[in-house]
Amino acid sequence: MTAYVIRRLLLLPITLFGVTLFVFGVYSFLEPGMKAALYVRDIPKTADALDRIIQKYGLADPFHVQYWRWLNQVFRGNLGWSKTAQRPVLDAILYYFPATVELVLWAAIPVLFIGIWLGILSAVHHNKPIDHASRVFALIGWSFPSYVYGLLLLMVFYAMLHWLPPGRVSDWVIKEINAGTFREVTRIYTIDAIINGRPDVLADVFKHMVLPVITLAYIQWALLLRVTRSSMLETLRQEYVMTARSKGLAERIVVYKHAARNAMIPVATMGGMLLIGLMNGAVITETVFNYRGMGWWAANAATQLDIISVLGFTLFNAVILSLGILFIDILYAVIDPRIRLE
Amino acid sequence: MWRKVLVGAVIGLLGILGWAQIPNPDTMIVATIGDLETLDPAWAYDTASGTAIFNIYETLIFYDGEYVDKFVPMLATSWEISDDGLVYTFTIRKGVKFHAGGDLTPSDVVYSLQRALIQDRAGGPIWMLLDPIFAVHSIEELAEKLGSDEAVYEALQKAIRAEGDKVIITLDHAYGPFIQILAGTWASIVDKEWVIEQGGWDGTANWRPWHDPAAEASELFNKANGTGPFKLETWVPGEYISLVRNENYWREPAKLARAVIKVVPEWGTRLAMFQAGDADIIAVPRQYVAQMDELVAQGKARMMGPFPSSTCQSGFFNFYVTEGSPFMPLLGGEPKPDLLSDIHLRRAINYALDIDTYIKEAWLGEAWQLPGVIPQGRLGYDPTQPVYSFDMEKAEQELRQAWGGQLWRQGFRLTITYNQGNLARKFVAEMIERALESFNAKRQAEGFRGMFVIEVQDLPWPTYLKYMDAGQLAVFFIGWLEDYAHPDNWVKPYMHSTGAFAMNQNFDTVKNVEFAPVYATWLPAKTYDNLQALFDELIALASRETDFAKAEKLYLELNRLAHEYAINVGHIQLLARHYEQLWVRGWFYNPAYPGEYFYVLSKG
Amino acid sequence: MKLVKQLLRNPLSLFGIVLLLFFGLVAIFAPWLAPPPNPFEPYRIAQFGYSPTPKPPTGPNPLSEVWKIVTRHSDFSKTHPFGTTEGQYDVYYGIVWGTRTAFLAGICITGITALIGIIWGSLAAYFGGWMDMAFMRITDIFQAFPFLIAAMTIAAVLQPRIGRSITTAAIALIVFGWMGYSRLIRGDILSIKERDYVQAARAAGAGHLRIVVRHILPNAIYPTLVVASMDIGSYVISFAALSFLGLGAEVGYADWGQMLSFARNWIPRLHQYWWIILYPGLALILFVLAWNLVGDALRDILDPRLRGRIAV
Repeated sequence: MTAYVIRRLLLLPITLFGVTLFVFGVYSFLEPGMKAALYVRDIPKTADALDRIIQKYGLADPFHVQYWRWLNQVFRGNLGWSKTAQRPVLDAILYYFPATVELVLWAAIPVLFIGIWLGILSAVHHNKPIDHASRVFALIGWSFPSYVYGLLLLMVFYAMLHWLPPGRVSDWVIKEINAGTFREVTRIYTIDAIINGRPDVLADVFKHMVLPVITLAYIQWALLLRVTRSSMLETLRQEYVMTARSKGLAERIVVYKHAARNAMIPVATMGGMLLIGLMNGAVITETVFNYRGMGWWAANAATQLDIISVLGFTLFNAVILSLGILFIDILYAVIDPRIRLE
Repeated sequence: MWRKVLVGAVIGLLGILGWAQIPNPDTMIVATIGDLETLDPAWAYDTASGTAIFNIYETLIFYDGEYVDKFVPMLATSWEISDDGLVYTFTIRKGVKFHAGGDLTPSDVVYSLQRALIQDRAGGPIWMLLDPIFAVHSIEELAEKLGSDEAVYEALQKAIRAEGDKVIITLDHAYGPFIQILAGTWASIVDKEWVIEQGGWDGTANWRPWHDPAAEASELFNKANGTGPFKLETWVPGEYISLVRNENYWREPAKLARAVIKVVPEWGTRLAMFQAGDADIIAVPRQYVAQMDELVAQGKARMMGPFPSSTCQSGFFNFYVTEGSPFMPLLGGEPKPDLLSDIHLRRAINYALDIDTYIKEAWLGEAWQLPGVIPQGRLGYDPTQPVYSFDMEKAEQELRQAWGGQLWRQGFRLTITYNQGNLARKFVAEMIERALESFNAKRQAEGFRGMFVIEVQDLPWPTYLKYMDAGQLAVFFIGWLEDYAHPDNWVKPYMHSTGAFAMNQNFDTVKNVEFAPVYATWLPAKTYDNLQALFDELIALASRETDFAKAEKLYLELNRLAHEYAINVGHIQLLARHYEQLWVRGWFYNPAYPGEYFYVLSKG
Repeated sequence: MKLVKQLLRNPLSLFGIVLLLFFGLVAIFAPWLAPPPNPFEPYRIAQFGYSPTPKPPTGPNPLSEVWKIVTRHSDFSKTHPFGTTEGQYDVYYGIVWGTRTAFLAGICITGITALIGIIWGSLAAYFGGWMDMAFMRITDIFQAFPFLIAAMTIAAVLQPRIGRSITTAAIALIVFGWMGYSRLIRGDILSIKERDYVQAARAAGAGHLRIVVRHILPNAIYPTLVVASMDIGSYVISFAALSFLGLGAEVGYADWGQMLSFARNWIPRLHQYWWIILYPGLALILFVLAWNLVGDALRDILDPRLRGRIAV
């Protein structure tokens, strides 16, 4: 077990090194002139403008020289300058990060609870109407592109009914933030609203959050439901469950105490996948709802060819993901020593 | 009588209600598309930055109301230009305070301009000042010319100096548009002591460390301390910038207490903000004007305009495509870099473009075709000068003459490029493609085998710039937004050998050009070595001309030549619209403003 | 044959197959269903004017309009059964030709991705040792990126080089799609590599290529192929997502995601312009659903071991 954890920890730097090499390799795919053009907004007005930029930033240097210079900067936390956010890339990421965390957390909660609960339910009631219903629900969730789904929700609940608007908060909240009457502590607005003791702000935040959370959660729901269901079905057939039943234990206790616990082990391996799904989904969801988080900013930057920002964002996500998966795997190995992870 | 009273009462009531409905009566909220790049006046070169800067900082002189060629004193109470046009003397206003409390002195003015000159970032606006003062395009070029950084410093001291309450600027050569350039945000006046405190250039000969910084490396990137009607309150990059009224302003303080410019890239959100009254003025892309016009028709918004803007769209011909270009023109199947140096082909393309349809479809009718290169509202614009109108017969005649008939017989291939995502440019390029390729049927009937092949290629912006910069685009569509409201800023980019576009067009490919003046009749008829030499000389003459009437004649002459040599295709001036809430007061259009000038605005 | 019968017996997969057949027919008969104005560029959506405001469907019932067009065999240029979207692109035309793009995207991307994954995983597993180690570490690196975000990055960087097009999006998805397959096949190969018949072939002096292609792959490849077939639907979604974000197909290209991206500009009035989202959205949903239904059933039949596995 310890050996496994150490091995994983040792592998991490190698992976991260590869990640940086890859990210910078992608950037080096651009010619010096194109990179220089990323620095200007308008047409260069003088003949040497692009050449001056190439020279200044050493854009025509050999790959290893540029890579080394860039890596040095990355280690100092300098991921470059974001043209779309008008601040250093890392600043921009940290600025938009709380919004995304808020969205992802709110989406993860229903995913975990409803997904697992429905999965257990449909396994227990195998081939009953409730099972069929939740399977269809899952299948649709899996086939619905989240952007179509989000736009349809906006069509009904925003354009038609004016109930649930896009964006992150209403304008009046932003006004209060600017005026200082609402203090941003964590920049996770649901928490901030509680800290500030402002139920009205909390209500506004929820109003904006409902649709994106549903959109982001649905696909993951579907995923978790399926995994839980099949894992649960298998466990329910196992001997010890049968034994428990034959001992005359209440069905409730059999299901939730004995079977569900063991059925959760394969479900836990889905953690990494869930994380990836939420990270990917956040980009699409935030874009559809103009929810100003990291994903919204990155997608915006990508369409405006603000490549420096996009690379920084990708690097950041890769690091988070690698750490997240490492954490999940180690946790898993600790919980379930029976399983030898390859 | 009663009726009148009733009507009066109703109007009064409506007025009260109307008044009561105005949200945030002393805050103006503008929703725009893009964020500013910097608050440093010497660095900024985009309209979003310019908008914030020209509300915070001030220049020596400023545009008078809607005029682009009349000026009012601002930080200078008066100014004089010597008869030879070389020496500008400004008397500096007394009793003006910077926001942070410092007094405005002539040495601040000298420092501000010198600081801009030594900063001269790559791709920035300072070339406009360097050219008339030192006849160079970058401060590095000057350092090379003079041999050392100290020599540059000495030259700076000589060119811009304070004398009592006056500031004297000496130019290298007479230059008509200089006064317009001094009204731009790049010539904003900063507080010397304060900037030095912030870590700025200390005013000594050791200026290199402050030369060409990255946006965020400039000490004034996110700080501002000007003399203008508004002070910087907060700038949250990517979100908004808010300005508050300067109560100690040297003129009457502004009517608005606050002004907020919000960055809202999504059109739908901007519209929703406008409808909710959360924005007073919003940026409306042309394709969505119909939605705003609905609101105007319902009496929920006001539309101003269309006004002739300071933006033009045009197609450019490259007379000699640089080797190695993926867009190399072919004549009869053989590479022909100078294909477009043939006047008949260029004219034919001009005749083949149905420009009225282009304007109607791609610009919803809100643009007009220009003769020559100078837009309406600038010296040298004359609507009676001829333009190329759509005429397929003339196009055919010209095509038959091109390259001595070889082009018609053997066919050619030409690539028209535009930057990806720009649908209007795509549209015009495809119109030309269809029109020229439509001759193929006739040519085949005459027994000619090689085809006319026009390719329309879109390129992502960085790639587009790279190829343009390398002179490798054959025909390219792009727009020009004026830097300073003067015809020089049109003939330069479009015709001068150092101009943004012309430097990639190789007009010198056309040799032995005979010139016989039509307007500038005092000039001798003469044969020039090449077309570029002729253009350069006339542009220099025009910008140095201190006699207004003569300058106009020279610009007319340049305009005539641009048309005669058909150096562009589809050159149109766009019209601009402005949409605001009914309660916005005082707005007017000045094409030289980078954005809303809040000092003149109010709500109520 | 038994497989097909089983697929047809399951009502869900039958529905999926019927849907796929329908889409297949639409794709094949696209030139007749929606004759392109410019035969050389059929994938450029027919454009009727330039006005940005979407125009509603003409005719009372879109389906009857379609029927009329089908029977009359041509000229839909005067009617817009599904309306037009921003820029007056005909929605009906875009959906018909978009079917081809969707098939192309789904099948080609999945095919190439699976191929790369299989080659990579087989090399790693067959040769083992340091090569396996190195190959798997490289796989780790690729897997360290969230799929869609990484694809988005590649698409953004490729844009200046090869332009905004379906190729850009396809390359982006392929670059980050193959890792799952290579892991899967590697595991399966490792488990059969030491079996007798492989050893026998090796003893008989068969070449590496022969052993892999003749003896190992036929016995190891099925799970990977099943998973790949299940992934077609999600590749179509991801591909359209890139277009939706403005990183895939160029404006005006017959691609459902690209058509959906127009809707982003009209969010406050989507109920008024419902056709710009509903028709392309519906096409995309049904198409993906069809693949998923078939893939799902296929998995249940072929490999119960894979139950519960889902693509990203």
